[in-house]
Formats: sequence, structure tokens, C-alpha cells
Amino acid sequence: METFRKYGRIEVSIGVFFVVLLLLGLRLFYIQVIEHDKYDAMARNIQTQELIIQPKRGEIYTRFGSETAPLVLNETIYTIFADPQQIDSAKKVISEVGAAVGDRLEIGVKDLEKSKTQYMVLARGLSNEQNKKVEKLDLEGVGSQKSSRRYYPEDKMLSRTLGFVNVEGEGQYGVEGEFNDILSGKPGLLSGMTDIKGTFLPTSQYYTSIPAENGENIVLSIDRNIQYAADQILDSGLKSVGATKGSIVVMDPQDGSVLAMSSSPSYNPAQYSKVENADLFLNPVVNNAFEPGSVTKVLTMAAAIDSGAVNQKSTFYNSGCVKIYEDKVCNVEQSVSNRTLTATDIFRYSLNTGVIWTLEQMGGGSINNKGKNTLYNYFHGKFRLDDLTGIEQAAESKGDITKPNSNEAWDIRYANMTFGQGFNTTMIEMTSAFAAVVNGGTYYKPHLLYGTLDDENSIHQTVPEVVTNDVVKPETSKAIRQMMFEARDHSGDSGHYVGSKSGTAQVYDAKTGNYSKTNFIGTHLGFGADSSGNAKYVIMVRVDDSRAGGYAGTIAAGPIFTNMSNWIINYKGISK
Amino acid sequence: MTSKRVQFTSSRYNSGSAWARNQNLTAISKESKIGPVFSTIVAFGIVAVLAVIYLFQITKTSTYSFELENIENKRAELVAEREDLRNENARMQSAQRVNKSGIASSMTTPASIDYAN
Repeated sequence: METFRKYGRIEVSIGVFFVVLLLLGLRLFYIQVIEHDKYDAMARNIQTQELIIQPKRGEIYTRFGSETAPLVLNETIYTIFADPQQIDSAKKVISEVGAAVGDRLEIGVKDLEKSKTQYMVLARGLSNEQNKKVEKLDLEGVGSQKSSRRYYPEDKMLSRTLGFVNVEGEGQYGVEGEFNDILSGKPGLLSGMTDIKGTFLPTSQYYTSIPAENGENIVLSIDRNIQYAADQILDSGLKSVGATKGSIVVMDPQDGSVLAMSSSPSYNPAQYSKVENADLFLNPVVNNAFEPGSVTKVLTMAAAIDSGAVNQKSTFYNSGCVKIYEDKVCNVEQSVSNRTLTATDIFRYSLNTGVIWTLEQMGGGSINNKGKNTLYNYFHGKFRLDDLTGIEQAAESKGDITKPNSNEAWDIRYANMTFGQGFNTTMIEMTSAFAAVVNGGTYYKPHLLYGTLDDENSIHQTVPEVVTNDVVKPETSKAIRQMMFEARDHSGDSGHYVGSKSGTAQVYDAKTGNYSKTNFIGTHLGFGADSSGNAKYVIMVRVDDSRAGGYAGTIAAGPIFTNMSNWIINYKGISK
Repeated sequence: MTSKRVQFTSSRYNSGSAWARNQNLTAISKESKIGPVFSTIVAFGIVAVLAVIYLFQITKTSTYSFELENIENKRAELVAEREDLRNENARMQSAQRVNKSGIASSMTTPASIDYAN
């Protein structure tokens, strides 16, 4: 007490004041110095924002003569939303926005009035013009969000080869799926302090701007004109035989580039979500392995000639049927039975007995391991009929060939393989192998990518890849071209050097374990060459469900091949 | 204000000048004294000027930010418009459109075609 009495009230108050000041000072020191990092980070979190800058997805073009034509572009679209808690009048918002966006309006007055959320979508997928109309209304509590989606000026063209881009912006199936990494680019980042409206202040501390890297624009090897013609010819060909499913592929045999790849039915990739049958997302040319039928006879003959077992002038006795143990294989064409025929006649009359004879010749006179090994060596090793081609399509399928040392390598299986049954392959594997046989023996990797397109519209062309150049000898190639030309019925041709082979394969029925007697796949495979005999194009056609009767390979697929072939001859100006 | 008289003596020899004659030289110097009030006002003045400059700079950078944002928005709008026009152009030149055009439908198939080698 004595001590306190020494000081007056003012001194004590001053003392208390300084003690409080000291405590505050200490607290400030604690907050500002010791806990500086913590509060600095908190402040930064409030004041700064991060914005991911979405890159522009690369566009897809086709070739169009020496130029390019757009196939898949991007378009900016807008979503109009409202915050029901901030709007003045739901009736006014719905009425005015409705007038601006028309039938795009998704909700009514009651929906907006009843909503307890802070975000309700009023309209989606609006154009820039529609969005501007809504912006002009300047409605309280109404805003818009910008996004991008794919735009297809050619509608359905090439859809089953292209694939689509889903709502997450990821490429699905086909080219979009295969080139997703190249097309998507890399997102950028905008980070820094913002004002109260969220506007970035570039001059502020912590401001970071990493620009997005846009995806690359790619040019496909597809020629828009050939593709359009292929679409028309396929659709009209299928319609004429009452078929609903079919495909056509056109390839340049001199470099493996795909010039057209069409399948029917197709779908509009802009409305992929409305597709009910997911099979439509697959490309039958690449994703479906099947038994190709008699078009395989061309490859069997190429193997037999190239291995030296037979030659173009060889002859054989056609008995009409061949017995292999308990199985009997007969020709469809019986009018030329029991006579000696040439190797070219095997193509002309599509003789199963003829190609079985070539298998026997590869074995030295009978169906044996030597013959099977030789055939397998060509089908598997040289023609690559059971190997992925590497074409730029997502989830490519591959064929399946029974190895000669397998328990299932029965004689009848190998006999069937000579005319396209007992093994399976895809259209692209078959077309690529055939292209190698008719171009002199070079197997080019089939490809859809022609190059990339830079901002100055210059194309950076990719180099065609040679897989192997000893598929067959040049003389074998020449012999096959000549035999196919001689065997073809040229009544529908324009007098040009065209060779082809049809095939009608029975479809294996898994339920019965036998080949169906009513369900056939018609195929047609051939080439067109200039006056010097150089193959200029290769076409393969497949028709799945012809209702026309007869042999689907000839009746259904044949006219499609001929029409396409004649169209290309005119388009490319190929000399007679 | 006070004045002070200071006398200097020069020892330097120079026959032609007054210094040389060892004359007394006188200079009247004026000495100013700045008081605490004046100093405080000046200090506040400097701080105020600096604050105004600082605020001006800050406002200026903010203004630049808004200008930049406006330009960016305008640019985005023009890009969107250009994109729309380009897409419309692509649609107008699509194979389907071209084939359905009046010109295409009035074309006829030539009777025969010959190509030079």
C-alpha cells in the first residue's frame, strides 16, 4: 500500500497505459513478425485468384486438292444463368431472356421463383449474337458463361472415323480419341491479385500469366471430294440392295494414305449424346475383324506365285469339289467343273478348289505343314493380316490367324483360309496388304494423318512410313495385277486398267456353331491403274446385310466398287 | 534574423588585389533558423505529397488493369465474331451445300472424257 501511495492516479494510469501499450506491441509483434507467414498467406488467399486458361482445341481439316477444307472447327457458346436470390422479378427475367433466346429457354417463372439455390441455368448453347442480346438487357442477377464446343460444317461426313469430344473436352473414339493429346494443347494459368470485381491487376504483386498452348491443327489424308463421293455412292449402293450396313475405304497404294473411309449408318457427332446404339461410335473399317471371304484368293494366289509354287500360266484340273477328310469343299460355280483351268480362271470363277490347289502346291502337292507354314508366313509375316496396322484410330482391332503348329490348324481350316474363311481380319488390314501386293511389294503403314497446319496455313507434311518393301516380288505384283484385270468383268468400267475380286463370306453363327445359310457379308477388293500399270488407288467395299439375293460380293458390293472406281478415274484424270 | 560580422585575414600574397594589401575583409552572413512547427509542417507536406504520388500510381495501375481488361474483352468478342463468320463460311462451302447449289444442279454429265497422259 505504501508503494501505491507513492504514485498519484495519473502516474498509475500512465503506467497501466504503457503496460497495455506494451502488451499490444507484443501482440502486434507476435502477429506481424512471428506469425507473418501465416497471415500473409491468408491475406494472399483472399486477395488473389487463379484462373485456368483453357487452350483452343486443335481443328481438323481434310485435303481439298492442293488446299485444305475444314472438317471439325470450334465454336464459342454461352450458358445464361440466374441467381434467384438476386433477381428483382422472375417474371421479368423469364420474359426478357425468353424473348432474346427463343426456344433455348429451359425453365419457367415458377421454377425460378421456387428455387432456393443461387445458380439456375436459363439457357444453354447460345450463339455470340444471342448472348449479346441477353447482355444488353442488363438484368440484375443474370450472367453468362463462355465455353467451346466442336462445330462440324460437313455434318455427318467421316463421323465414324472422327469420333467426338465429350462434355469434359476429351476426344473419344476415332481421330479425336487417337490424337487427343495433340489436339487438346496445354492449359495456361492466370494468377494474381484481383479487385473486388475479380478483375486481375497485372501490375500487382504475385501476378503470374502463363499463356495456354493451343492444340495443333491437323490435316487428314482424306480427300474431301473423294470422301463425299464415297458417302453418296455407298449410301445409294446400300439402298439399292436393301442393305443398312456397309463400309468403303479408298487408299493410295503408293504411300498408304487413306483417301476416303465411309461407313453407313453414321451419326452426327455434334449430337453424339442422342446416339442410342454405341456401336455407331466404332469404325467398322478398323474396329471390326471378320472373315473376308473370296477377296482373300488374291492374297493366297500372291503367296503361291511369290513362293514359286505356281505361276500365272499354271493350270490345274478343276473337279468342282475337294474332299478333305470328312469335309467337302465345293465351288459355287459348277459350270466349269471337270476341266483344266488356268490360274487366272481361279479369279474369274472364284474357285475354292483352285486356291486349295495352290495350298497343295505350296506344300509340294498336298495339304501339309510345309504348305501351311508357307501360307501362314505370307498371311501373318508379310501381309500382316493379324497385326495392328497402327492407323491413327483409337482401339484398333486386329485379325486372328491360327498358327500352323496349333492344335486347331486342321487341314480343313487352312483349306478354308485360302478363300477367306477360318480366319479373320479387318478391312484396313486387308486393304493395306492388298495395296502392298499391287504396288510392287511395299507395305506402307496405312495412315490418316497428312500433316499439321500452322497459324500461317502452311502444312507440315508427315512422311509415309514404309513397314517393309519385300512383301512380294515386283514380278509377282505385276502378275497379280494382270490376272485381276483379265478376270474382271469390265462391262461397267470405262475402259481403264481396273482389276478386282469379289467375296461373299458366310457369317459364323455362334448360337448354332455353324456358318449361317442366310447371313452373308459381301466384299469387293480391287485397284485402278494408269496406262503404265501403276496402281493409283485401291478400294475395298463391304456390305453386311444385302437383301438383293445372289452373291453379295458381286450383286451388292460390286456396283459400289465400280461406281467408286469410275468416279476416281474421272476425278483424278487417270489415263487409259 | 540576426547578422554577424566576420573578419577574414588573407595571408596570400598578391600584389594586384585587396587581399595582397592585407586589408580586413568583412562579409555579412544571414543565418535562418527553422523552428519545430515549420519542420513538422514540411515533414507532413512531404509525406502528403508522397502519399498523393503513391495513390496516383496505384490508381494509375488499377486504371491500366481495367483498360487492359476492357481491351481483352473486346478482343475476345472480336475473336468470337470472327469464329462465327469463319464457321458460317465453312458451312456455306461444305460439300453438301455446294452439291445442292443451283449451279451444281444445273450442270450436266459430259458424254465422254479423254485425259492426256
